[in-house]
Amino acid sequence: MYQSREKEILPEYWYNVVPDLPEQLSPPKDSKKDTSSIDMLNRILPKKLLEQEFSFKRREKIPEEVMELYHQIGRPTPLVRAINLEKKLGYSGKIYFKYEGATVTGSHKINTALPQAFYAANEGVQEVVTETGAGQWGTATALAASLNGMRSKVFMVRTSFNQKPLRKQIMEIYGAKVVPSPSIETEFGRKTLAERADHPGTLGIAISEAVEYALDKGFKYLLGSVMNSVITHQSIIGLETARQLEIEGEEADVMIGCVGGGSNFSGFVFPFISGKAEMIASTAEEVPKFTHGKFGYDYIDTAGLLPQLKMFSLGAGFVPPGIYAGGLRYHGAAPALSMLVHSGRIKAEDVGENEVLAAMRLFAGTQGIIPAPESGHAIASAIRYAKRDPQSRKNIIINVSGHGLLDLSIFSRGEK
Amino acid sequence: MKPRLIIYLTLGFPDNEFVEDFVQNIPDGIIDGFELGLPSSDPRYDGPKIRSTHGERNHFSQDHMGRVLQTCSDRKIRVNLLSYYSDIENEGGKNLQMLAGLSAHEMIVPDLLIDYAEVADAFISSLKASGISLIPFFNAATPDKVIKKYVNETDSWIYYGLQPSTGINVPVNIPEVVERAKSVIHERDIIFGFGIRNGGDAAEIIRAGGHGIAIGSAIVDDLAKHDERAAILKISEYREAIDSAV
Ligand SMILES: Cc1ncc(COP(=O)(O)O)c(C=O)c1O
Repeated sequence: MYQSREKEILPEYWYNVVPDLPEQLSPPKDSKKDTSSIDMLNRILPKKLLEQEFSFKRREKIPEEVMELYHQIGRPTPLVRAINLEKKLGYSGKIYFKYEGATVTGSHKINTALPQAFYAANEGVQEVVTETGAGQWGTATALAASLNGMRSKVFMVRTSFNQKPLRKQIMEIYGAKVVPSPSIETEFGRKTLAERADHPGTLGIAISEAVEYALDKGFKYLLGSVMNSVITHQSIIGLETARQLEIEGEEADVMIGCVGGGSNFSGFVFPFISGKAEMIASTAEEVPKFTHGKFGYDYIDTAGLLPQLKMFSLGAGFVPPGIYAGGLRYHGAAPALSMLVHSGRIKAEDVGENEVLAAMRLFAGTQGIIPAPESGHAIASAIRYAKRDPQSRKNIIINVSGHGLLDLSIFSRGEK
Repeated sequence: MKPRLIIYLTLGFPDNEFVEDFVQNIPDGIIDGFELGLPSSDPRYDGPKIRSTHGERNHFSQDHMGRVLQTCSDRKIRVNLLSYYSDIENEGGKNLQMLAGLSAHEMIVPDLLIDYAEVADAFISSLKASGISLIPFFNAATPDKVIKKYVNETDSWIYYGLQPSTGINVPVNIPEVVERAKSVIHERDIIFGFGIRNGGDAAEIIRAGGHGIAIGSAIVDDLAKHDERAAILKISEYREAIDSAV
């Protein structure tokens, strides 16, 4: 039904929330007196991306070429009513889920990888570099690079690299070179390994390595989350959802998503921010940035190459446990999202491993989809919500940011 | 209307004597005002060039500021001050009492609406009580709601930054920035600054409908070399660029 109304659902513009925030977003901060890490972004990011990062236009035109690529990778993604889950929970209202796992790379990450790679290729760049935690972002980057005729290199957090050989293989099939991080290919990686030879790696370290590598080689660096331009690209999730709900004749009462760096959640809810919908950000108990983190300036990456952002953070040196949801292991969260959590507009809750695994099983058993463990947090929070008041008639909309077909090993760890 | 040209100087940079001579020697009519920065220990919303000028905190003295303001007043050059709220707060309002006695009646506080939004209303009132109006400092990251609120609460001209930080080099679409500012701010003069790189940028701002420009980073190197002539030459070039854009 939705696919036949594709043109109606796919928006022509991305949405940038910044002009509609309740307060002014604190700008990125340089921490050194005489050099500018903000200026350094000029060297590592595509110009067009940087312009989007700092221009804060409410509407940003999606280039035609990117629109075409969006069609190719499966946009619009479906909005599905989870009738079986409603029944199973005995919930009187409706539950819908937006399924980003339906894209060819299996998650929302491709939504921003495509425009970033397109902008880089337009500038004549031959190779793009990035980091990846769970592997979803690296996969999206590898494909986006290939679709735009470029090579790609991915620094993959060592724990994931070891746990997810299939992810690595997929990236390689798409043409990427994948190395475990910390690696010996960068100065920061070598320094980190010298301090701890069996370092499990973190996203913060992998970002530092990718940035250093891009600087050294004159390549462009692609950003997977956190930055405002990324969230602007991800607004396609929420904009499509808004039109799909309109076609259904429904409204969003409660919107729930998971938060790593904040891109899928923010992209999903920001287009609804001026409305009344309740919004819940679900984070991992092991990485409780909103409930236990500090709201203030902190580094994006562990080495401090990139500027500081004002956000909720557990500290750029935070080494999270090797949890089952690699995409949620990041120490911080996007500044606009952090502000809205701080102001109370968006609520946040932590969910633990057992509850997430149970939610994933329930979702798979009722709707047939094995969600990514990251998305499992959103589903668990939605189940909590529905169980709290089964008589409620509210429409709950969940963002299922990816599928979990390459994360099955987490089920064999056994519920604790 | 003739476009306005405002020149930013950090008090005490490169040293007191140079600044005092500079405001004395700048030829009549090429600028419309000085913006004088009080040296700050944390000039966080300035770019690297301007930040380097704040290192001269030790050179600064109140007498120096008094002399600069006196010269400007004698020469009928309009002056506004710039101070970070973090410093005003640290110095327990001493600064403010001092400012109340001066001839400058307008002030920019770059961090006020960003880091101290919760005290901004009270601060604006206390400034007013001292006869000083706040020049609101906005940029593309300032939400519509915030701009409207502070345009209502103030009555001076508006300072609108092209960049999130001065002196850096991110690509900016000038007509779009000016258009956005003018779509939210009505019936007030808007002066653009923070990141103007050359005469071309300056002219583009005026052509797009900006009322004036503020220049700072562009002359820092000349000031650092104590090269007054070079700085004045550069300022004249900006003057020409904006005048010929009308
Ligand atoms: C499927 C999936 N969901 C969510 C996330 C979390 O990132 P973000 O908060 O930026 O959406 C990731 C990150 O790797 C992911 O792969």
